[in-house]
Amino acid sequence: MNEAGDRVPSQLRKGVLEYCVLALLRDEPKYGVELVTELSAVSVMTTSQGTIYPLLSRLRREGLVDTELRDSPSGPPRRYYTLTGTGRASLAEFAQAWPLFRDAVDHFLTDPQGDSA
Amino acid sequence: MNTTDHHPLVTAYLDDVARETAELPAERRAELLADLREHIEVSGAENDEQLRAVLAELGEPRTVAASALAEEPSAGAAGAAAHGAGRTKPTAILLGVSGVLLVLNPYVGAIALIVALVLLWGAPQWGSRQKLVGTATGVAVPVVAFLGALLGDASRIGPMEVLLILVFSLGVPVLGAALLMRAVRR
Repeated sequence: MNEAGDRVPSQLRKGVLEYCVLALLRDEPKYGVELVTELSAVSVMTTSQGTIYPLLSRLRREGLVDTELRDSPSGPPRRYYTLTGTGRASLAEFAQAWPLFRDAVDHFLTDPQGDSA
Repeated sequence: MNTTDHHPLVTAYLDDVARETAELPAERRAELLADLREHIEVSGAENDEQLRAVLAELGEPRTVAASALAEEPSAGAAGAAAHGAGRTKPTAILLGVSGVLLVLNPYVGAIALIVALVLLWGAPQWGSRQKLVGTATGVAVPVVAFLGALLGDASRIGPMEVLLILVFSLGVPVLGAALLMRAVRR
């Protein structure tokens, strides 16, 4: 991966990746490998799966997600991540702000003069 | 199957991550290593080839470490690099030259050493172990000079001794400075 080529996606990810993680947890708790695999299935979201764990750790410290260890029918126990009330509120806030933000960026990219709305 | 637990590939990978995250608080670092270990175990690789694929997908240890440091406000790359990195070089250089200055002019040398130590201990980019090593290499010169002065009356100091003292005063603080520079570079 060349560093310059990865710069734009990497800058973009910084602000939104954690909300994608919260969104993935909206309907059900998920364990690390599951979360990370779903994220990296969309290639712009992550290039190195391992970088998600420090993010998950921060989300847990900030009280946006909670973790619990559950036994697995096959293999070792897995740490499941669940969305907390705070996490859900944070996700809702992002979901509300995002379309405005996306439209604003599109606006500048397609119509830099801003003379038609 | 739990073949990955003590696999040399896993051990090497986690050791690399551990080395690259020396600046993280111990608890955070242990958590990251446990998360990665769990990820590898849960991924259930059954042979070396699959295990290599799992590790490749996790990413370079350096990349994973960098993201962990970036999440850390105090020791993090963002915070520490912003207000600490600018002082890395002056601190290391001051420490490095303090030994020679001490030999040339004890007052100038003492001031350089004190300033270097104040900068060193106030810097967020070095752990306490690195700070201790840096301090030891800086303080070694005056301590040796002091001991030398005590013994100096008894034994005459010849050219060979002078040369040894010079090499020591030049070498030890420079070594300390080099270690400090290396510790910060990622």
